[in-house]
Amino acid sequence: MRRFLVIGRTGVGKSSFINSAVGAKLAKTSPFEPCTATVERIAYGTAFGDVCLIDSPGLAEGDRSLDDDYMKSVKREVKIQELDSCLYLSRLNEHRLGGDERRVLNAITSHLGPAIWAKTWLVLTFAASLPSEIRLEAARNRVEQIEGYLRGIIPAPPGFKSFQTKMLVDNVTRNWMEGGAPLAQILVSHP
Amino acid sequence: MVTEPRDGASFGEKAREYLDAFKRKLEKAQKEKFVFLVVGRTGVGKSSTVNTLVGKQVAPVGDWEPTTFEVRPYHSDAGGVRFTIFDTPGLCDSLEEAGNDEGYLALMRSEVPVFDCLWFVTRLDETRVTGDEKRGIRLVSDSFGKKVWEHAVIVFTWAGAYDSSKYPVALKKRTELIRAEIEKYTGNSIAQEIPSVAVDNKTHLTPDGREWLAELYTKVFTRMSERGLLSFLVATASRIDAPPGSGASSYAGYSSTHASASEGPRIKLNTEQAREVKRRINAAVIPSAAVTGAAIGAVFGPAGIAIGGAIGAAIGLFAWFRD
Repeated sequence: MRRFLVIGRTGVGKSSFINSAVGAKLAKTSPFEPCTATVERIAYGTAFGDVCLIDSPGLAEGDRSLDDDYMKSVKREVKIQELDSCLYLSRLNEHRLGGDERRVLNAITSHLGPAIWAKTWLVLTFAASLPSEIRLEAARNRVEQIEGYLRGIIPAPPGFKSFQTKMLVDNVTRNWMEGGAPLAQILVSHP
Repeated sequence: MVTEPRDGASFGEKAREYLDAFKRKLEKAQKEKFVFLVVGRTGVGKSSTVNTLVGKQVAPVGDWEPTTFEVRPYHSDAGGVRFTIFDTPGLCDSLEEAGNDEGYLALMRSEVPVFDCLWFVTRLDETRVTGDEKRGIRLVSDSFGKKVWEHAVIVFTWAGAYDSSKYPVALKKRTELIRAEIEKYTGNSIAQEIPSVAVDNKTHLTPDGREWLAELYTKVFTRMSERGLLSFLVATASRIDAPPGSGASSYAGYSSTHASASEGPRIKLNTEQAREVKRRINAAVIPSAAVTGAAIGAVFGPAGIAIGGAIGAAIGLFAWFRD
């Protein structure tokens, strides 16, 4: 069974992503307020195979010390070696890499170690909120913002080049892009 | 229809006195200025929104990221009235200089001596009140005291991210959450009075099909301090359009002759918004309104045209705001 740690700023849709992936409302979600305060493991049998998704409290919900507390609880509950991948979630429809997002990238790097990024997939949420004609361009910009920042903060070795796997998802709108694949299928079988 | 007042002085005389007093106040206001303080995360659309309201490119719209906390004053004028917009890049953003609250407070207090309206700007489609925003709200409260929130407006950008069915719930819920955060510093009564308005810098309508500029104008107007209220009125009056059926035909003739002097998009108030604006003018400018609204209209309308310029526009505006 593949194991994924789902991590990112508060409100980007981590719990909703998990529900989208397993096709059931297993993680508690809230449209306007933080609702995941502890690390939660959700193991689920999908039509494509079993998958374990580990939900984590949203970062940048409060001050830096709260981020530190949350990251310590992640480290306590999750062994990095047991993970197949880490899923870093970020909103597609943000114009710039905000200060809070940079702070989140810093916190993950310092608590989980820079090597975590080599096994991290980038998941851009709220994808359907942008019109299809600008979506890929916006996604390229967003990927470049995040990758560019990580290259700046992670000296070699290990350094950082780019994300091996990048995904666009939307947890609310269905069938928003042609040629999309079910999330569970990607999580179970993507190399 | 002009009617005779009970106490002998002709109605026309009373209204004339009234007009003179109002005109003197407007002339004084034209020499003074109004000041906005704008706070919110970088990139939410603060500058675009302010520029639309004042009708010109005052604050630069760009993709730059703050690296240090700054107070940036933008000075400009409209309708002969000077104004200043204070932007606060970094105040609601995580910067490397974390924990430097004392420095922030000192800078805010020294660089922003006085302001008439405080804007708290955030995206409507943001799903959380972020830690940075919470800190910004705390720093503003600590810098200026809880009373500043009596002159605050919550401005939600990106309203178009919602369709018309989800928009009212999002606006209500996000307003409640921002107010709840402010309430920690002001108590319930001040926080619950803070109005919110949704805007979108890609379209002039909110998802419910209403013109957001008129709503933004009305909310800012009703929250301005008395000090800056009339200056703001003089600066914007020439851009105001009358609500349909408000008896504004004489004013319409006036505004077309002076349209070239006004910059920026028209502010099309509906009847309800016009009433709110008028109520605020009445409360702030003319505490002892002895003359009926209908008569003010009869006298002020033509007088406004005769006076001309930005002050005439403000008087004409007042004329068609009659009940």
